[in-house]
Amino acid sequence: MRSVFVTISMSMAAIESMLEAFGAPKRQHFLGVIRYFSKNLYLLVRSFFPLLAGFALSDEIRSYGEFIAMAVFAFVIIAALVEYWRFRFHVDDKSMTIQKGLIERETINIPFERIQALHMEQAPWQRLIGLTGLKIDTAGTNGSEVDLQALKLSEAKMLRDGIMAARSANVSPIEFAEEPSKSLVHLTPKELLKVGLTQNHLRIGFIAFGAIVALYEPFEAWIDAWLASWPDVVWMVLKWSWFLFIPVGVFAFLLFSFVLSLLGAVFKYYNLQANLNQQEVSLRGGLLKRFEYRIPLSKVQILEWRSNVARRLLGIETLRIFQASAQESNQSGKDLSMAIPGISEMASNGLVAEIFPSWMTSPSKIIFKPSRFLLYRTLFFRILTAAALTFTVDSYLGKILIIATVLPWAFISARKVYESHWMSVTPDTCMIHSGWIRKKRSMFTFHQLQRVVFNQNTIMRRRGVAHITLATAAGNRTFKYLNEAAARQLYDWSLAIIEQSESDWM
Amino acid sequence: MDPFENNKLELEGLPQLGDQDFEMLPKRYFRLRMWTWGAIALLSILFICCVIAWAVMVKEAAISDFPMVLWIVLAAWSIFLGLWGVSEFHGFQMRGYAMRERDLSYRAGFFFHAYTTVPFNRLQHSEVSQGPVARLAKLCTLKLYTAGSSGANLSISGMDPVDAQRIRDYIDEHGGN
Repeated sequence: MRSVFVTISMSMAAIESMLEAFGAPKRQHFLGVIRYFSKNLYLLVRSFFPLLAGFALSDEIRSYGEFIAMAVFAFVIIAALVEYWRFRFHVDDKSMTIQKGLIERETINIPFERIQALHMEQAPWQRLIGLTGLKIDTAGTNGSEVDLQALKLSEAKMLRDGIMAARSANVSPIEFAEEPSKSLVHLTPKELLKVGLTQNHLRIGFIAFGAIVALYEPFEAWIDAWLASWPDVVWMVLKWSWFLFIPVGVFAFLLFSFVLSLLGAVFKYYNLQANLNQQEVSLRGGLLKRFEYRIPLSKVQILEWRSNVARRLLGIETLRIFQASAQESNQSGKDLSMAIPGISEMASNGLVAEIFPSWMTSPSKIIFKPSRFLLYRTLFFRILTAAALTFTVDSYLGKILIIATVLPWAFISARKVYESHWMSVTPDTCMIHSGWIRKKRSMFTFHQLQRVVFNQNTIMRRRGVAHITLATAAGNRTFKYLNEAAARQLYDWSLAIIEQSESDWM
Repeated sequence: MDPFENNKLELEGLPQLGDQDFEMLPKRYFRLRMWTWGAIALLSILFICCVIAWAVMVKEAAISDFPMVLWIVLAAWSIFLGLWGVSEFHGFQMRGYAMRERDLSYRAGFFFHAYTTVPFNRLQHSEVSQGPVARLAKLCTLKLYTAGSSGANLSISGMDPVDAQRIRDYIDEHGGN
């Protein structure tokens, strides 16, 4: 009981200190001007780019270059100052109000209960001047989100904690007894290495390769000139020995991808910490761009784990937590989700126990398996691919070799695909498993569903097979090639749960 | 979090959504769809005939000179028209909606058949729209929106406006949370 009081008084203190600090209309830190300045300059350059190019070409105008540049700079600086001056925000115990606008004055009111998530982000420029950004995701019709970009760290924290406390006080008067938050993931250098090493290096390598090819275009002339300056001997040597460079090239590419993706992981996940307490999951980390995300547990719609072979060997997975995107249809199209790499099974179980409590305690789970149609279908298409491949080579030996390797692979992989696709269901929660080499399982409750879709094509109808799609507010999940009778049962069951449930879906 | 429950999964005895629940859309919607199909088929055939006639008469090309690709495209187009006709003709019986106490379902499609159910207690808002052609035919489209994805999640075109309004009234009265 005592801890309950402590929590309430703590959250009251958080609200009070927030009200004290931000009760009256207030501006952001003055250095926020920098951000307005760079934003406006960027917008200006982007929208008048063709005009600028024209100026640069015209000699007459170029002679006034300094004056024009100064005028533009002055204009941008004044605009930034005015914008900074006009942007004021304050909070009361129910909502946050923002007044802003360069020419037109705009007042935005955000009730705390509409706030979906609060993210703290610190980009390098903010770190340099000791500021931090607070991003407020709301469930608005026009995807309106508010960005406070220049707050002191202490201010941002105070604001965030105050809003969180005020919101939970408004939404549910019952406070949870505060427990020390459990650590889900803490990527120490060793753990970070594990995550970094087991990434999909090739994907990143190909992306980088694509970027290099795209970059080649504008510098084509220079590169060609540089290559032409090489002595002819080099080309002679290359002409006769280029094949020697294939293994070297492949190796270099692999090494390059590997280093790049490892570096990427270090930058992205440096000192990543995911914590779970009774109300929310929080995630923070990052090397250059620091971030801090929080998702309230009651807003979680889907948990999804993905893993590849290497990660499974190390006993880690990547967990993605999907949050309801908006009360209205989500027009911006991005889903609100948070990825936690390197999570262990134990930590996952702890999270599941918190979010879907009945899952762990449910004594019996019903298993739905796909119809054997899936097996035959996969096999059919793999064999078809093998047959198509045999036409690409001319020699009989090649054909036989292809058949000898691809056919067993087709049988084994079809079998594996079929076996790793299944679904386990408790009365209110389900988990869909799929994938064989790259495994994926997603988990959600029936009462959070928004609608149900059943579909099949002519062939599937004849074979008595159907797909069933369960749609939550954070996206759809489909279980494919289920027996039609089972699909109908699941369909009716989900509807019955949705229509009976009294509890909130978000 | 909701109060903890742990009921057995009782799959028997649930209210089942079956074929008998579905109502067909008005016959004039069927005629409208068939007319649309007929018009497109007729116009495209007419167009192709004109082109061939022009090539033969004016350009004096022999039929055998036409490239193979042209015949393949023509064959593909006629197969497509045929399949489309079949799906329109036979698909209409499979098109319909089912109004139950707590949800609205819609099914459609012949080659790719799907049915969707939106429970009223998950509904965000509904919308009735009517284009110029639909207005002439006294038909309308009922759209239901739920959370979580862009666009309408259930869109029933070819509904009688009176029925659509009745459904909306029912939702306003009984639906919602």
